[in-house]
Amino acid sequence: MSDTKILALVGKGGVGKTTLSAAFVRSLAQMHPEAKILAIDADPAIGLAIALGVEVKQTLDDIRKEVIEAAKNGAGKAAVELLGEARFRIFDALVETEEFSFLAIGRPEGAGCYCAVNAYLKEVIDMVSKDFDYVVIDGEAGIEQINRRVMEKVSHLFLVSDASFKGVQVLRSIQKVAGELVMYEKCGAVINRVDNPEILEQMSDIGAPIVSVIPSDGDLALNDIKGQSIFALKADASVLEGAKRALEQMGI
Amino acid sequence: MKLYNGLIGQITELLANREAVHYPYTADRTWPENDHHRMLLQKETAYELGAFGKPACNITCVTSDASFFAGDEVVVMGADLQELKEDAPYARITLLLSEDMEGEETENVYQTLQDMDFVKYHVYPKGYMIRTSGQSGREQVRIGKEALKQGMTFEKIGNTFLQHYKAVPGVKQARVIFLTATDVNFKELEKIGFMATEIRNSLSKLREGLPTECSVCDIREICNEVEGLRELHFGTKDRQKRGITIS
Repeated sequence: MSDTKILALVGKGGVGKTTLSAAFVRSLAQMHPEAKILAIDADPAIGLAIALGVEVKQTLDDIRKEVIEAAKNGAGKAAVELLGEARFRIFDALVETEEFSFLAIGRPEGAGCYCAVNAYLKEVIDMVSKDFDYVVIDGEAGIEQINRRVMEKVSHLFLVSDASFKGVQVLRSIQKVAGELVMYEKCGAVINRVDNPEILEQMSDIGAPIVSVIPSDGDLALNDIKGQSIFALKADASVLEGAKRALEQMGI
Repeated sequence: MKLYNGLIGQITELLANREAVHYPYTADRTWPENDHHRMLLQKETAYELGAFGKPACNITCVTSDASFFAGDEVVVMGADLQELKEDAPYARITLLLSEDMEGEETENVYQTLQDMDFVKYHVYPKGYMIRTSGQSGREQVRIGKEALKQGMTFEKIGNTFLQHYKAVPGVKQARVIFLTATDVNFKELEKIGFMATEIRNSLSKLREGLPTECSVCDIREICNEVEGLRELHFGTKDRQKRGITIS
């Protein structure tokens, strides 16, 4: 693995992964203004784009389809040509801002085996990630992407849950699968929307240290309903404080 | 090898009487390279050659006719990298002098041309991020702010390209032309680039086997335009008839 720090956030749907991913991006951009930061939205719903206030024109999957089409029409295209084509077109999907760059994976369509799609995603993520100092991946809900080994090489794995039984249950199963299939250096849990500290006593056996506990935040909910990005939040918003704490605890 | 001679003639005619700066190849005036493709982000970029909405063209032509060459050289037509201040139209044209491949198997000719063409995927000058599309024929380049400060010029980038081309077996001489002049007929250049790609694609199809009856052949149009392609096809077939198989 290169020096790139790859942060992946996984957990049940609706626990706040996307907001926390956006908070990581904002915090990293403020802590390291010169650093190259890439946010990858691996959730087909593309919620991270909204949370970061960027507009997605193309996804990696759109490009994958175009490259496959080009390969079908071309006469015996060599692998280096296809990779060159992907490298050429990736900039059509990359949204670049002063603070960070953004890439949406999109929704791989089609029935049956996803091996080729996953191999492509891994290849592209590997290829692009090397050029960044920090990569933040907002994973899709559940453990599918871990099972499909899309997130095989991450340096810091964040298990995200809210203060619900189901959230913690999913977190435990993700931790178990990730332990077998993902090569990570550090793993920590972030527990979101905790208003009663006693809840944490019920979370002693989740398989990873809790690196941050974030209380509910009315301002965040208001920001969200207004469709505003994470950059519109006040610097002392609990999610931003919680994100910084998690990054520090994980040594980032 | 005369497949590209017609196209080289067209390029020569198109660029005739144009002001040009010639730099003979100098091995110790190259530009440092990365060991792999490195991405330059917009915030690191001073400007982009062939940026979206501007012409961006890459052409590679190979010939065994030495009369097109006067030694290895870099040619610049238009503003050099240090003079440019904003996005500009761009073309890179590479002319390669090869061994005569007369009588060679189609497979060998194809492989040799492919090796020469694929150099474009393996040159990674620092602060000079090349994006090249075989599909569209476009080549766009992001020019890094830092590299400009350090004195990057087309001469040094061209020498780096020449170093790579000269390392390909069969390349005897090479000329790399950088075009940033705004009054060039880029549409015509794009057509030439398209034809150059079609020639290599046709060779790929020849390897796979094509009918000997021209009226039903997929590549008859390009065969009609490109001198030497039909000879290559039928030369191959003749050898097959003589019992020489092609893998």
